[in-house]
Amino acid sequence: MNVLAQTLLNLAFSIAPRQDRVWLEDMRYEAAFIENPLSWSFSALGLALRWRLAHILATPSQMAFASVAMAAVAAILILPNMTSKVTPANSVALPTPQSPTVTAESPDTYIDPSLSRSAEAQDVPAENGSAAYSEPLPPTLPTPSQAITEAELPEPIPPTLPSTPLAEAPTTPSDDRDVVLGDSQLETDEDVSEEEVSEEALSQEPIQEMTGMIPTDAATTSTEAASADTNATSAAPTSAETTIIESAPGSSSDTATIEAMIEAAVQQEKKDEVEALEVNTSTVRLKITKEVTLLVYQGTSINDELLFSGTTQTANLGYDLPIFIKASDGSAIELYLSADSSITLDSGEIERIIKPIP
Amino acid sequence: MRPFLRKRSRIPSEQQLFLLKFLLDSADPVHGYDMMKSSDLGPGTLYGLLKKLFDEGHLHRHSEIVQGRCRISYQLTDKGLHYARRALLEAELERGIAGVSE
Repeated sequence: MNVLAQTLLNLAFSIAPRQDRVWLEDMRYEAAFIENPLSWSFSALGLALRWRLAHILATPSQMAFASVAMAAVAAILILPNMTSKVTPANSVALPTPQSPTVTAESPDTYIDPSLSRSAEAQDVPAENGSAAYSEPLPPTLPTPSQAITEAELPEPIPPTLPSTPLAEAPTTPSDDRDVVLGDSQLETDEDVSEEEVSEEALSQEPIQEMTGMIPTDAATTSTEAASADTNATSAAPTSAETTIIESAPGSSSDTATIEAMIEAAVQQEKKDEVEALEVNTSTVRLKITKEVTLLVYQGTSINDELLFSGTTQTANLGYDLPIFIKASDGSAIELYLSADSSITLDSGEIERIIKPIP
Repeated sequence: MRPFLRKRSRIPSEQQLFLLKFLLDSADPVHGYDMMKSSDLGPGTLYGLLKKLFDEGHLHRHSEIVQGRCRISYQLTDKGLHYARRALLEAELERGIAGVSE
């Protein structure tokens, strides 16, 4: 009799009620004379479980104990999941003291407008495990949970459109470097109301919804108005700044006949360093959660347009040479691709080829 | 009036009848594995029925040493013999009545 059969028989013997163990002892004796003791042992185990269940059902005290144990297990396993579902991932973000501090270490680094929210979402929900990065949602009626969250705010500020027209936006894409630097200066300014910053970030979402334009950092007027009394430079917006760049899908579609292949290889060890990919008609948006070097190169000769949001850098990828983008923690990168372009993410373990949705 | 309940309360199941018949026919004590081979009962079903018969006092357990190992064999008691004959007879009558009524 092999070891597994013996183990199963011993297990069955220990499971069975005390008064029934003599029969399992009989089966154990008999197993020594059986050609296939393994199935015999499984049958003994099933029989022991059946007798144990019958014993539990017949004994009120054990029945009560089993009920309490099952209720406890259900409470442990099910209730935490239920509470995590109640917490909305896209609820109105209550800014924490650390939340809007997205640092810019490189001119190529772009601070995505929705990142201020997603970074906050990352702070909280390591509990619910949801992907942190998401496209800004259109304003909706507050859910009850949102209402509760907003009720905790000292002064609820309704989400509104920016009061200043977009044409009056004081910054241009070329100012982005200053903008980023100014942002890092503002991080130390405690006079800036972070609630206002978060609300401003929300207020710009309808713009993208209505105009179909990418959220932009030129629309920082209202944010600046909110922080006008700060000591920062006048051109320095907060981390909620966005950049308006007219997304011209397929703007370089003339070159689409050439087989364009833009490959972005993320040189990293862990695949989750680049997460929450979002693919638009002409945009591939990456969110970098750790400092990585993003390798973007083109295999064939093509004049394609590669815009790095935040700096509106146009890279003419007419070469086989790769372009290295050093992205810092928490930054986001947008790649604008032509219609026939694609991007390949190679994180070492997995490889994903992403093409803009036609 | 309620044949289903009356049948369940009095007449053993087909598997139990088969086992009773097997034990009734064998004059000597029978091992569990031999009973399993002679019938199509699984080990779990077989030992469940044996336990039930033993608890009702219809069965004897005999332990013996076979090839240097302990082995248990089973045999009907006098009460068990009476019970087996009666159960088999009732089952026959039930089948006969059922056949006539059909």
